[in-house]
Amino acid sequence: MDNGASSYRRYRDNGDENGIVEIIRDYKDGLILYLTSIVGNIRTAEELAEDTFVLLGTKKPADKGKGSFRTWLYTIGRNIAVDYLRKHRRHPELPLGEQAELVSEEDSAETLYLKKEQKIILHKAMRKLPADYQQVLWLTYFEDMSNKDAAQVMGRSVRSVESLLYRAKKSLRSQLETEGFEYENL
Amino acid sequence: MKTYEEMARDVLARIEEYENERKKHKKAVIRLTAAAVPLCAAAVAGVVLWKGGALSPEPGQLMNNTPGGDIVTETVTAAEETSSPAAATKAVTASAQTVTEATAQETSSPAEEKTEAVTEAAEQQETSGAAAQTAPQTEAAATVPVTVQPAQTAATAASNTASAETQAAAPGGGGNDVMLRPGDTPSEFRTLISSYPYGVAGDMRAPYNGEVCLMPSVQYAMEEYGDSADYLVMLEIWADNGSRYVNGYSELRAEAERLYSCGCIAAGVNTDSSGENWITLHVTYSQLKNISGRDDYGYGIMFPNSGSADYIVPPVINNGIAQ
Repeated sequence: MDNGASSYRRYRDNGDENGIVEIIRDYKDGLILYLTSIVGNIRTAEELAEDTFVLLGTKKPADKGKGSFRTWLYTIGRNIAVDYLRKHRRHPELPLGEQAELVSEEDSAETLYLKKEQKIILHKAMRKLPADYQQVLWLTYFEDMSNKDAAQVMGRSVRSVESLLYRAKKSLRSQLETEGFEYENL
Repeated sequence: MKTYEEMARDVLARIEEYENERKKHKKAVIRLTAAAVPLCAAAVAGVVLWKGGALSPEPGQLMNNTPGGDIVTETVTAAEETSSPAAATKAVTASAQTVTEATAQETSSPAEEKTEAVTEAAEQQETSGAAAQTAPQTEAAATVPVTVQPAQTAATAASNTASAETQAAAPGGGGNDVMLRPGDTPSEFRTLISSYPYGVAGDMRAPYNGEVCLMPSVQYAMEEYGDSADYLVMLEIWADNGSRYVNGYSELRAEAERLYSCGCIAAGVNTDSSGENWITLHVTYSQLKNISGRDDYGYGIMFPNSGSADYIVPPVINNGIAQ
């Protein structure tokens, strides 16, 4: 059984607050980076990740056990992010200083979470791709999800995810080549 | 970016805040529900009562609308000089105000005094005969009203029952009371038929002894409404094979009591301004169909609203047997 699932069950059934703390500890960074690929802003992604955990704690939705706990959690997070984007169609322009601050925050987050230099280079290149490509690459490369799980998180069919992944990889390759990296070596 | 401890702290605080809000909301809903439920229940009860006809006019009120139908407004007066037959007269008043006053006075009079006075008045009426009945109304030195109003509400029905008991304790007492048995409730939710649009022309004979004759209008109404309604009818009584019209109050009163004891919903003796008396009955379909008359009387049953042109005509139903 997934650790996250057992922690969540402890919280939901017995009211053990440590359960939700453990979930936050294990899934916070990955969720924030994934949500960043959707909303394009790490601060907003952080708020949305917090909203995701609050939703777990208040509504206490039942994990139907179809996939892993992480897949389920990311699906909830994605739905919250999509709602957010629907409500905030127009993204306000951030001042230059703040943009630089955000970039540095993202850098530190990815350094903490990804650790390996290769992955950090990949992630930086990914950030220049369209949101859909970022999402699918994040889920398959960095979260090691199967196409099926990625499809579940993204609310698409497996075939659609496979096709999206193919195009995303192609796009990433050209992006890496533009920046002087060799895709095969990464 | 927040560390996981910071985020966990924030998340737990928000969860707690949410729980508190939910509890508050729950309390508010319970409070609102507690306030709204009795109001809704009262509204529903009101609608049910209204739809059920409890707020519509009752049979007793309808009786007051019959011609000469101030059935309940009779006041028996006892004069100071009881030796003179003319001293005791029967005053008939038609105003509802008098009824109210009479009822108020009745409430304040002691029961024994009332019973005595009623008996006395009845005896004097017997001796004075028709002359006393047609005598002009005299100023009464002391009035002892014995009138009971017909039931208008469930509450007054109870008081009527009590009055009926008092009447029973004083046999021969005057008054055109509508009688209810203890525990009886007026049939306030049933249609009351007191007229039928059918006129009869021609000579009709008076009923012979032992005959109970229904006017065609009554018969047609019974055919049309059957057991789905109650009937308010008036009785004319004849004696000596139709040669004597029974008009004496006490005689009619005794007959009304007898009919009432046979199971009628209510029975009363009416007196109009010219001193004419007749019996009014409130009966069900089966009671009307099976009225048992005395062998030495003939009965004519008609609607009070039929008018004087309506008269008794064969075919005759006598205890359910057509003649």
